[in-house]
Amino acid sequence: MNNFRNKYRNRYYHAYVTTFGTIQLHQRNPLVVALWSVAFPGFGHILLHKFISGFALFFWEFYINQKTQLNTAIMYSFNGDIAQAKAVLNEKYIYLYIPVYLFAIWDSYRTAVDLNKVHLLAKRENAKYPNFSVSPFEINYLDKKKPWIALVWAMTIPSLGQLYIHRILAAVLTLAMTVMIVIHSNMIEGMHYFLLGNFPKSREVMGVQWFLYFPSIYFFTMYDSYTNAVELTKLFDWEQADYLKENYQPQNFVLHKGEKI
Amino acid sequence: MGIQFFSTFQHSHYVELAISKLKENEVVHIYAVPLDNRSMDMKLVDTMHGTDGTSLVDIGLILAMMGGTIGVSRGFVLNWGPVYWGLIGAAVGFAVGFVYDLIKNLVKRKKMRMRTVKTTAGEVILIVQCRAEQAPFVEQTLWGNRALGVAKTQMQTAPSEPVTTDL
Repeated sequence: MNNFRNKYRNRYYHAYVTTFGTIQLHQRNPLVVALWSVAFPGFGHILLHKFISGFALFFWEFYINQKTQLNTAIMYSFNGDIAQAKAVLNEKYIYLYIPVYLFAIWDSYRTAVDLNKVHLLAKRENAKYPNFSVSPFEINYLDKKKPWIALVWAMTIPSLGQLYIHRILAAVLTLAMTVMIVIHSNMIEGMHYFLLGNFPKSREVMGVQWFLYFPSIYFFTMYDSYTNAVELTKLFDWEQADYLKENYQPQNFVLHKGEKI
Repeated sequence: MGIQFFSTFQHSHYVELAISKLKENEVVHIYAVPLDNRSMDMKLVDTMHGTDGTSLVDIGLILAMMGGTIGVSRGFVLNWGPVYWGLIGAAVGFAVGFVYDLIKNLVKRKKMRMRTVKTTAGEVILIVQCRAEQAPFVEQTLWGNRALGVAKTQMQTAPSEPVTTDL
């Protein structure tokens, strides 16, 4: 246990640059975080950098969804085919879904509210944190990231935007999921026929159970990459401003009213 | 006779590169002032208490109405019926109008930013004091590391050499 505290240690930290990504506190809208949990349990937690909880909830939802064929049932319900929706749902698992789904939403909302408070405390304390991290696995440092570049990369293949801003753990999850979804839903084939104008064939080859995962993951990685790129850039500016103030404002520096030449 | 340089930078690694290069070459009298920049963001969503003439719903609502009407009429033929298609048409119409207004405003905002902020968005003021013979090197270093503006001033009095602090 880390029971022995160095007396120079601070209470709260604004950010932490690790080899697998920059963990950062910033003000968030809890409602937006909760809504991402509605889109897919786990996404709210991943936005809050709670990766293990996020992954647990994500894979739990994924497993139950596969077992119950929930996505297929959702498709039938949206099309008004309630009988088919009832037929396809597996009642052996479906009741497991509800409590954990609601918990994910509630817990991400609650955590976002709490982290906003902690962020304020950390901001006021303004403690030093490492701004550079090297290990045998990775190298990470504070840097300015262009949000629109993160967005464009995220739009090509989910996970690339997250790799650009060095959110390794989230990127691994989205990359693995994207590959699985693309393969199992026959998305590429579907796109192929879609572009050829053969819509019935396109609809026929695409598997709805897998394809319905795609929109939420796709838009989530765009959101995740973009917002975190914005916050990382702000963090860089603050950190550098603090560094300059601390090191380059010597008491004995004299300003002269010189003539401009 | 000493020289003082006044320069502005944006926050980036270049500021630190400039400082470290100057220090490497025995220019140690450096003073940095990070600025709090004023945000030029125009409010995109009007509030009850204030509006700035920017609205994102004007075209959107008109297009929603048109899309809704067309959707309802098409719905009598299509599978899902008039209600679903009406809602879809309205939503799509609104979205198109909203995006149109948003892009229009972003372009407008960008133009404003070009006029006002782009030229003045200095985020850090860097003041460097050096001897006259070091001046060309310092000037080159500042410009070479993407200074936004550099002013060279001639000190009237001989610089009282400040005590060198080990930084």
